[in-house]
Parts: sequence; C-alpha cells; structure tokens
Amino acid sequence: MVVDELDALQEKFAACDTIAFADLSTQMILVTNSSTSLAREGLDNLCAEAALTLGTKSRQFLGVVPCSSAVVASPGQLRIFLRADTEPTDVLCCVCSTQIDVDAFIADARPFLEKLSAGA
Amino acid sequence: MSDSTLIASKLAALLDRNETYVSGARVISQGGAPTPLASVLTEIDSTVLERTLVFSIDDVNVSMIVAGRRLRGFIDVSGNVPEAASVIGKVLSRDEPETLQAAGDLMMLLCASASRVMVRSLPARPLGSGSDAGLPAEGLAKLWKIDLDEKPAARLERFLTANAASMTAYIYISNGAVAKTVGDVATLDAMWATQVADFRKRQRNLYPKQEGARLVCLNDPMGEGTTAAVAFDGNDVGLFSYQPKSLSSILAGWNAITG
Repeated sequence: MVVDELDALQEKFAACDTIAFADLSTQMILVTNSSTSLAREGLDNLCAEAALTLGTKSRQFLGVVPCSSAVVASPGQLRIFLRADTEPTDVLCCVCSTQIDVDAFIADARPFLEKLSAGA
Repeated sequence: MSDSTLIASKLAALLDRNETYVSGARVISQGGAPTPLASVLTEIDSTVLERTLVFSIDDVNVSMIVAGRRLRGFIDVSGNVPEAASVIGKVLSRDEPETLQAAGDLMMLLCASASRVMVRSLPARPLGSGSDAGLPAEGLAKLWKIDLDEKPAARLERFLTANAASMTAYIYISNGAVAKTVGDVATLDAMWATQVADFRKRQRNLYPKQEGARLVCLNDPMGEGTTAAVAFDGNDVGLFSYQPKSLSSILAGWNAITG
C-alpha cells in the first residue's frame, strides 16, 4: 500500500514529519504517511504552497516554467516539494526539521515519487 | 539584603541579559553578529579577574589567559591549525611584534567566516611571569584594525556575502531599493520587478501566523538546469541563482544566519 511506502520513507528520515502525495491539478493531498502531525488545514496549506512554489500548468508565481523541485526554509522547518517527471501534476510535499539531509532525502524521494506517479 | 534575596536579584540580573547558552558556553556571536573578532575582544575587555577564556569559534576552541581587561596570551588551540604554533605559550607584548601579528592573523583566520562564537570562563592557568601584563583589548583592536563599534551588516546581506561562492549571481534589496548586485542579475531583476511582491503576499496568506525569515529555492524556474532563490527577512529581500549541487550548503548557511 502507498501509505506503507510513505511510512517507510519517513521512518528512514527521522527528521521528516510529513510526506504527502498530491495532485496539483485539483490541489488535493491524496495520501500521507500515517504519523503526520498535520491536520487537514495544514495539509491543504502545504498543497497550496506546493502550487505556489512549483507553479502550475496555468501559472508561475516565480519563474517562467513549472519548477521540478522547491525547498522552503522557515524558522526550524524545511518544506520540500518535488514534481514527477512523467506526470507533472503529481507532487510530493514534505515537512522536515532543518536537521534533514536534503540531498540524501531528495535522492530517495525522487525515484519514489516517479514510481508512485507511474502507479507501480 | 538576605543571601537568598541577593541570589535572586543576581539571577534576575543574569536573566535580564537575554543571553543564550549552548552546553554551558555563552553565545557571543551568531551568524556574524556581532562581528566575531570584535565580540572576542569585547569579552577580553570585560574580563577583570585572571581567567582562562575558552572561545569556541565554530569547531575550533581557542584558550587564552586574560586578566585586567588584557590578553596575556594563547595557551591552546584545538584541532589542526598550523598558524597557532607560533603563538601558543607566548606572552603577548609590544616588544614581540611578530608574535602579536601572528596572533592577529590567527584570530582573523578563525573569525573570518565564523557562524557562531561561544565563550566559557575557566580558572586561570600559568602563563609567563607576574610582570607580563599582555595587551589591552582596545590596543589589540587598533593593532589588528578591528572596529569594536562596527555595526554588522544586515542578516540577509551577511548571508548573501558569506555564501557568494555557491551563488552565480545575486541581488540584495533593502527597504525596497536595490542595494547590491553581483553577477548577471537580469533574470533575477525581472523576477524582483514582476513576481516577488505577489509571491510574498500569497505565501503570507498561507501562513499568517508564521513569522521570521524565509528562503525559497527553486530548481528549473527558467527552464531545465536553471536555479533561483528568494530570501525574505523583514524589509530585506535577496534573490540569487546558485549551483544546484550547493543547495545543502546554502541551506546550512541560511540556518547558521537565521538559526
């Protein structure tokens, strides 16, 4: 199940609290890891921030084309957004502490997102 | 005043100083503010009784003997710092200008890009004779050309300057006006002129309760292989492009300045 795979990725990176798979075309979070501390409103904001930073098919708020990934650092927190190559409306939205190894996390999360997006 | 009242008033005075301690060491410079070397000299200037001051300058510990607001000398520098060899165990004196300069060079080397400086005050250890007074902090500042009253640059400006090696271009905007540009900033300038204000407003609406500095790093915003980042801190804004492989070091630099 997708939740189990999200949980496995989250457990590998203890500094990560939330990993959510979302569809930017509907701006909806489809599934999250089971231990996320975010309630529905927080997840909605996270998805909205993914659309704002990565851009959508119809609009870029920063830049001229949709971004492949974005990292937002605010005090004590990092939010990492990854867009799937094969299906650009599929994104992974992650909330982590600043202790996360960003490079290692993205290296694991990127192929995971592609697999999820392909429905494998 | 009773003992307990006296202790309570001293504790209250200590709390009032709004100081930060990490593992028993007091933080005297964080993210370049106050200027690391000036903060070290200020500590020396505040030390009247004979003490060993151990300065943790990022991951290097520098132990000095200080008394009467004067630096007598260095007794230890941790790690592999070859520049320390010529100053450890020597009493600083105007009669030994080479040692004085070597001490200055060492401290400037260690403090140049220090993200955090902490200090611990320990009992003094022997160095030199009773007649060796060392040099006052103010005299050292003059010799080493350090302005003790220098106001540090704004946090965002310090972040951009300290991480410039990881960036290909940047713009620093203070109170709405472009204050500094480095490299080819045409794309960043266009982004600043047309998109940043709206983006910031929308992001604030998403998290109205979250205060503080923000950094947004983007991959491929201008097409494949491009990068751009926007940083916000109060009335200051920075835009920069960066080497994709430098993302984690840029984030570490951001945490060092804003943490």
